[in-house]
Amino acid sequence: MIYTVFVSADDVEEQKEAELIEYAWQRCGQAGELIRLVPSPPGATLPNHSLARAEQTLSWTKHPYIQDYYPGYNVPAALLEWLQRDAIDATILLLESGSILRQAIDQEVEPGASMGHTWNTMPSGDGPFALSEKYTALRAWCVNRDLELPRVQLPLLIHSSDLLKICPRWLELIGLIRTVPDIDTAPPGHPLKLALAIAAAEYRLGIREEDLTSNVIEAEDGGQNYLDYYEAYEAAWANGDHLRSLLPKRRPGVRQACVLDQWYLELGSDTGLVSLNVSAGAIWQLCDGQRTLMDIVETLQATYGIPLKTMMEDVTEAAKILRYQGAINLETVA
Amino acid sequence: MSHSMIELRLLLEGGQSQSLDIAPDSPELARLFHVLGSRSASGAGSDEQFFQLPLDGGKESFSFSSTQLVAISTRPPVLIQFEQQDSAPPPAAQPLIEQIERPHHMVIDDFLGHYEHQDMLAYAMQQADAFDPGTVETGEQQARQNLAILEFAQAAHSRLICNRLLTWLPRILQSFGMAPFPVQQVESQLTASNDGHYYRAHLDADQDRDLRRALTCVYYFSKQPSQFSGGALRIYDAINDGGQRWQADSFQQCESVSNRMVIFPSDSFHELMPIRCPSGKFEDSRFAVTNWIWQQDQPDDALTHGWGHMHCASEPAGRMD
Repeated sequence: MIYTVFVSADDVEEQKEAELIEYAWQRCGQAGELIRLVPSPPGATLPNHSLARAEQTLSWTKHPYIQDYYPGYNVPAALLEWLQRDAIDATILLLESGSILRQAIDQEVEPGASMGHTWNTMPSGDGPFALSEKYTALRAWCVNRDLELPRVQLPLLIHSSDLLKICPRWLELIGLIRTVPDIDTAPPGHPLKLALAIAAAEYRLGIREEDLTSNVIEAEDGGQNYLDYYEAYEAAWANGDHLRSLLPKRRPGVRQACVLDQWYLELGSDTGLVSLNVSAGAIWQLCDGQRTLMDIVETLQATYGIPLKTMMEDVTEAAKILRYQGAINLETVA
Repeated sequence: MSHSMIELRLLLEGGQSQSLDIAPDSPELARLFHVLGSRSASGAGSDEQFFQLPLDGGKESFSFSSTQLVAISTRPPVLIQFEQQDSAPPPAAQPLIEQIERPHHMVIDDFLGHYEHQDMLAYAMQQADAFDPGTVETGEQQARQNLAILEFAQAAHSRLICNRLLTWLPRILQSFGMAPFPVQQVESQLTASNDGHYYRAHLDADQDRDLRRALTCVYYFSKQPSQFSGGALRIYDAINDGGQRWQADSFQQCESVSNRMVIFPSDSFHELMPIRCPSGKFEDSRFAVTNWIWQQDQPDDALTHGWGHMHCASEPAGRMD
């Protein structure tokens, strides 16, 4: 089992990035499950997705004990919480939010056999861990400052047990690195990357460096490749291509009733009875396990004469809600 | 310790059953056991009573007659004692409901990195002469026998553990279902336990909460392969009767695996089982750093912890965005 995991907050910009990751994940045929960890206040409403499963985690955007604002804390903190809470035992493909998986990575890894994308621009010098002297302060907080750091960054392919081992130290080191003088002059991602490399070395994970540029385009340094992919993604959204490969299937055990044109679904003891609005009711009736979401869009458009774009948005949103409620599964088809 | 709900399963005549959650201090719970107990004690059916219990937070109700009740299954276990006068069965036995509380605990393996773990061992060896006998006399018997550095909190190695522990703390509190609280201090002590050493069952916090220790966090480390046996940590269940708590016979046991942190509420009864270390050599001891996280009511930004960057939590994680 491979979990493709990314951490992103629930705001408009990150939602767009999350949908892009979801689109790319589906398009490249990545195996396993897609998980979006959403740092947010307890009880917050989670974003809906067609394929990804959203999991709420505590927000560390502001470190609770250092009072430092840095969204990067959320990555190891959310992973730590999710891995520990759900006792995950699987391969984790950890993506950076905003990155694009354009070629599947279907290789499961055992504990001790991780690999990460090569970080060619890791700062080097005469400081601890052969980093620049800017990081001299790390000497006070690290037992062995002569370790050779793995020159890796996200994406990371790693066994969950290894990831769980290093997450607390990764999180702690970000906080320590953030106190380094002039750290604000370093690229924003450096504390996150450096802390990962040091934690991995201290826990002797031996992460193998791999050039994964053929698999992943990073938003930060993707250049034209990123823009080209994003353009194709927007075109797919505009003409509904992405909906042609999404097949809604009713989940077993869901009971339905129609009273005065109002559809009700009984989803089991936890959720109870839900009523569907007109759009969701119409879509539910067309979920026969044969029609893709685009087939449903076209059927409803022919019936009601609503503009295609509006209908695609309505059907997509209704399908996400039905999936979130547990009424349907959305499967990908070639 | 806060009361959690009791999972109740009622077995009724005809093979029917109904599950529900009920508060431990619910009068209905007492009535149910009373009915069952009365029937058992008298060997005959008692007067019929009518029950109506809420389901799904009161959205539904479940009604039945006491004569239909065959058995009650609970999680956690609920112990019943019936007060008896002489040997004659009372006409109406009075149940004393005592709830067994099983303390939550958390085990974190690989707590420190490889080199940090090695450094802890090296530090303990260097400090061999600084360990003093740690004994607690309780009048009748010696409750504790091991070696300890009581002022360990001043050492850099204590700060290393404290900083990592506080990094874990939001997750630990979440796991324990505890609301985030300002940390007053992280008290810490290093102990070495060798052949024959033990620490009998005790609490780290008093029941009146004058001692504001909230969590006890014990970090174990030892030479590998370990040269001792025994020394497990037993965390006992507690019997709660109207606010009074005492130690139950049942327990959960954690082995003192090297580089492992075990966390449990400080008001839990716990015991260090005797250690056998045939060599008797100090370096073969089972070492432990016991950390007590103290809670205070109001945050004090002047207090710092760990390496000095950590302050009392004035705002809990996840609620400040």
